[in-house]
Amino acid sequence: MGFELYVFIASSAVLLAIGLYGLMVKRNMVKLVMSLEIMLSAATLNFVNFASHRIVGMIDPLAHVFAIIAISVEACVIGVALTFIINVYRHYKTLDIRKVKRLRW
Amino acid sequence: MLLLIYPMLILSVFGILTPIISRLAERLSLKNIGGAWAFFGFLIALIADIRLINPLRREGVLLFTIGSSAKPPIAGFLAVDWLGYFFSLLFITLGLISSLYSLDYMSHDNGLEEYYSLLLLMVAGMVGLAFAGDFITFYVFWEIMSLTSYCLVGFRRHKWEAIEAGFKYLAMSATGTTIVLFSLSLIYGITGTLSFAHIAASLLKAPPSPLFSMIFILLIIGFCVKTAAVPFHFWLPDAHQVAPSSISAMLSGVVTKTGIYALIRTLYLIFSLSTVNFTFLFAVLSVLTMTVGNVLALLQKDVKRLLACSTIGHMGYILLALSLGTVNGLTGGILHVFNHAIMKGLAFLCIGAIIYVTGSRNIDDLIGVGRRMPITSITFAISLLSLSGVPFFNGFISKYLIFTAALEAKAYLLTVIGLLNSGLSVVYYLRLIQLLMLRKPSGKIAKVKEAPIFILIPLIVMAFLCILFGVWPEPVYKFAREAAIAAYSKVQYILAVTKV
Amino acid sequence: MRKDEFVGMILSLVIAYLLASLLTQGFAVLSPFRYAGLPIIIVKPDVLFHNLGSSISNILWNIRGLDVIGQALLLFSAAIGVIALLRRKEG
Repeated sequence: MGFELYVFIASSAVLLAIGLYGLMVKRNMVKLVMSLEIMLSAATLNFVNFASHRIVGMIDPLAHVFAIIAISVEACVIGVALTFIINVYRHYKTLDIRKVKRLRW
Repeated sequence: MLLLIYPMLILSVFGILTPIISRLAERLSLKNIGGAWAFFGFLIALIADIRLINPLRREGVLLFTIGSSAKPPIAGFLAVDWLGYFFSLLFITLGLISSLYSLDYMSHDNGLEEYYSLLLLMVAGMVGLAFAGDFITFYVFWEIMSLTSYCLVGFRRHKWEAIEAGFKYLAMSATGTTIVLFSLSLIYGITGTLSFAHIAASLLKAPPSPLFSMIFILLIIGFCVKTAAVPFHFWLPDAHQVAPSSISAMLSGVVTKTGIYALIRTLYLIFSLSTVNFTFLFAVLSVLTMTVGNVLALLQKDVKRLLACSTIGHMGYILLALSLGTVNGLTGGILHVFNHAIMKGLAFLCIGAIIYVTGSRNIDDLIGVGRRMPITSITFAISLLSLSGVPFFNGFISKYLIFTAALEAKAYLLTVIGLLNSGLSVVYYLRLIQLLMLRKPSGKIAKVKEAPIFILIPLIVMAFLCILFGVWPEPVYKFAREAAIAAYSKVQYILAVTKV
Repeated sequence: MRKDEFVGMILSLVIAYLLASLLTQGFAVLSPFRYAGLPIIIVKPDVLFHNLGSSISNILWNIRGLDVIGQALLLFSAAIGVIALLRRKEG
């Protein structure tokens, strides 16, 4: 099936792990949203990867359609997330996620 | 079958026109038009949904495709069987009651045009995902529901707590959804298609393989974030505490149940018990969820947070029912979905009425409020008694079904743990009833009046439903059994979709 | 480097190694598209992929119309949500 298929599968798994690292460790909220985007691009890379390796030499356009829909859905989620970040800054005066923990238990 | 698209079409058209109609009505200085518009939208959508019963009884599965040139594996389509129909009726009914309740409850807030529009679009997204026949259609409607619920949780944006809880909810839920998308790409890599029936047909007799287990675990992680199973439950208490009470009722009643619908589709339609053995994993998950939910609820001082933690406990019972792998267990689980939505929705609406009148959420400030607000407190007592599983209320029926199905499937340890947790939950429910009803009111509580009329009507209707389905459970039980049989036997679903 | 950054880096390296190795091994054992039928629409790429765009547009707008309508509804609801979160008045 070609060696490139496995390289791209492994690299999308690595991208997912990079996104998870950003979600776990980073303190700034905008970097959290960026890590979500990195995780999305891992899934999109996987879709496009399987599109070109279905039959060798030809391209299956259905997976590209799924990737386009996924990208535009995630753009809306980023819009709402950035609105939340604007409101957090107005209330807390900081973007550090460790300071946004007043709700206990 | 054009009838299938009417509920979603009506709800989304009403949702899109709500801001325009509300602004126009403000110019003409009529009050509360947005709420009345939303209520009529839900009513017409409910009637359009009920009209689907007769076609659904004739054929087993209803299909709808756009255009005639495209056939199912490549076209987007809606495929409704009894399971999706059951869930869609539940969603629209709870949305109707919540919109009627919001007519008086949200009278102190502004920005109500966007509120009713978001509520209508949230229920439109939920009905769409119950009707979806394809994973991408499911994903798009899941995101509609998620986005509108993030904005509704953070609706009172001038308080800091709403924004914090809303952001936490958004971060966790968007992570779960992205992990679901990753596993969808892997499913595409194995089967070459993303429609439920064609994946089920391809994987019908597949031997177990480590790749299936990996895809399964990734899907379960993504859907369990929405169901608030235990390692991913952290968003639920905060989100319920800060949201307006009608939205808390919707969130705890129906938004968590869409995760259960997705789990039933994953477990019973796509991966059957022979391909991935999910019994042990789900048994561990349900024991953790039940225990952590009930123990957390014992420690809370805020009433809405206590009810939210008990929601986590009830999700544990439903996951226990799903883990058994039999039709009886599935029937008990689906019936508990319906009963829990009504009971917990009623509990949140009652506590919202009490908060609306007194203005405080702490347990110590609300002691003895029952003497001053009789109707609210009687309906609250009914909901708490049915949540504990007292006979003659509807909670008892579904819990009995779940535990007898667990005994039939020889899961003795699970039954014992479930019964212990049920007994543990009685402690805090009865403590709430005692504190709110049976004590004398203190200083500032002594002057409160009963809640306004549009708050009382949904409370009385839902309490009546609680008692009705406790004494006469036949119709709902038969409906849940049809839904469970339709979910368990996938050959009929596959044949109906692939023959088109 | 701070302590939690170090722990996070170790954890995500472990997750990356596990995921990558399990996925490639899984797809090597069970060859990709093993349970798939023949594809319905397939395109032979031209020079610079020119004919791919028209094929994707045909699928997206003619065949997958339901998802595009759902996408438009999602855009509208995101806009209304942002308006609700950024409104002006107190209360």
